[in-house]
Amino acid sequence: MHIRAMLILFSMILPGSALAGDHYPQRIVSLKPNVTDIVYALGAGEELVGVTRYCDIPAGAKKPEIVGDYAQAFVERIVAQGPTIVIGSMENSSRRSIESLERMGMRVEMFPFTTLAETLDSIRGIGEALERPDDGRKLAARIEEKLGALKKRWSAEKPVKAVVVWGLKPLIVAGHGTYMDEMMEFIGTENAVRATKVKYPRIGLEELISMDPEAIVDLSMGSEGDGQDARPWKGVGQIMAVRNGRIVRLDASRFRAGPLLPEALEKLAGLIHKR
Amino acid sequence: MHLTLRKWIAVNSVLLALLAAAMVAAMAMGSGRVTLSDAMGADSKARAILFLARLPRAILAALVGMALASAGGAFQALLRNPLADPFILGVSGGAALGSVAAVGLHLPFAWISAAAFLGAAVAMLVIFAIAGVRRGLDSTTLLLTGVIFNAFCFALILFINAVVTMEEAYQIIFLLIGNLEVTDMGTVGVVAIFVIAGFGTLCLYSGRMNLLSAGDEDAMAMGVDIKRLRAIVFVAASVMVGAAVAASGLIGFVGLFIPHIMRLLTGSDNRLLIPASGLAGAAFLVAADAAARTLLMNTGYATQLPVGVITALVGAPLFMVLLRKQMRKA
Repeated sequence: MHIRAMLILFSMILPGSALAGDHYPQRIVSLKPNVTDIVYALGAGEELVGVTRYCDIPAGAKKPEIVGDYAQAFVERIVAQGPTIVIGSMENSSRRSIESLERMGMRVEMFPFTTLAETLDSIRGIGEALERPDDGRKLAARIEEKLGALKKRWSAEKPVKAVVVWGLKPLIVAGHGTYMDEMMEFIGTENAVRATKVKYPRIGLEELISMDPEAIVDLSMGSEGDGQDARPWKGVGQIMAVRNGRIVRLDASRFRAGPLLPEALEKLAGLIHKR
Repeated sequence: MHLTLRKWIAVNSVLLALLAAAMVAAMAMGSGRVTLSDAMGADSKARAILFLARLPRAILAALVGMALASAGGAFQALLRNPLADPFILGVSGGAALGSVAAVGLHLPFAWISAAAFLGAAVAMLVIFAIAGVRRGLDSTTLLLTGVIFNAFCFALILFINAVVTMEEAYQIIFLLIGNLEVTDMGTVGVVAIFVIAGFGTLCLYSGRMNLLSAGDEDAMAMGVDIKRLRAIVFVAASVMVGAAVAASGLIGFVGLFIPHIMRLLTGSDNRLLIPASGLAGAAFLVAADAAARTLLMNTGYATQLPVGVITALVGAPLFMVLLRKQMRKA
């Protein structure tokens, strides 16, 4: 009895990594680029057997099979990988392929990522699902901490009125209640778009002139640079952002809801507050 | 109904006045109230809204509406088919494929319109080569070639859409939905040149186009070179449609129902029908785009509608009413 009690006590004191023998390695399929980022950040990248075409695999890591594109999951390929768990996001997923995976008795876990709170919860949830609850909690805490530091750093500055542009023709902007709208708070910016029932309203040049943003964040084309290419607002000096050249072009995929978000926001903040 | 010069002038003057009224209304409509005196005064923002945002867009709408409606009327005469619209002969598919390919090849945004126009021109040449050379531009062959070419182009578009990144796929969808936002003033100028040339050519040949409806033998008996006439109408209308689609994407319904409405209102003489369709199409699209811009903008939704929503929602019922009236008369 004495020895058994000692063993139990001992196992409780031991850090998680020493219990690796208890951690049964998973075969993970990720259906979203941000989920893949999270899985790597949790240290479970070696257990990934399937990812999407758009996922970034760290240099040097072994390449998992491609088992999906943005919205679709390639059911046959997923089955062929024999996954123990399939992780996706509730947004922009094809219901049909998810259902057929579930029908086959596969363990499919879907997580929401529409707000920061949801994202942090989902990171903790993924940690638990992968039997790495501590890692999940730590990662979520680290992101929260970095974002808090960003907020503290930039709240001292006068807020910059900015517009986040998703599409050029028509002009599609991030409205209130969107993910980027929430992110803008952390970097000393406020959304120049007024609150509307449509989350991503389509506007015209006229509305952009009326809003008169101090900065334009152009996420529309995937390419980064300083905006030499034709844009609807080009040459319209009545818009403050155009007049002052405060137009930032970044790749939208940098802002995935995951571990890389604080760095992307930090870069954006640096570009917006420059000058 | 006999066409007199007086009627020609009267109808076209009324339509020209309508177009002018639509332009003024489009300039006056927007999310904020901007008056001409504000714009002329020290208010540079008001000036930008009127002359950089609203005016170029209204001009583009007029040009595109003119191109689509007059080309639609011309194709209906050329093919002797009431279902013909400006997009039926494959040029739209070529233009759409050109713009989508530009996205797929990661070309700069400014090149997309040029690529679309190139696609339209290539489409026109291909269709002309397939349907034209041996068959003497027989209308059934032309129609079938156009429809099949469009289907082929849209299959390639879906193919490209499947292999690009998610952001690009998203962009492609919006490219295909018609939109009259002006992203570059140069484009408006280029479109104007093509539309004025195409529209002018169609008006010039509108008298001879009447003979197409009489049937090939009759026309030939009257000494008209049918092959040459078909080629001219086809090229003039296609170039114009190519420029319009390159600048604004696919805007449905205008090119189909405006010529029909004009036919119901003014008779089927192409000498009047073609210019009247062009002017009516211009006025209608300017008004429809002003409505699309503003209808939801000052509500809680605060967004613009695709102009195609307005053209079909207004056009379809209006067309039904006129058609019923016509049927009762007959």
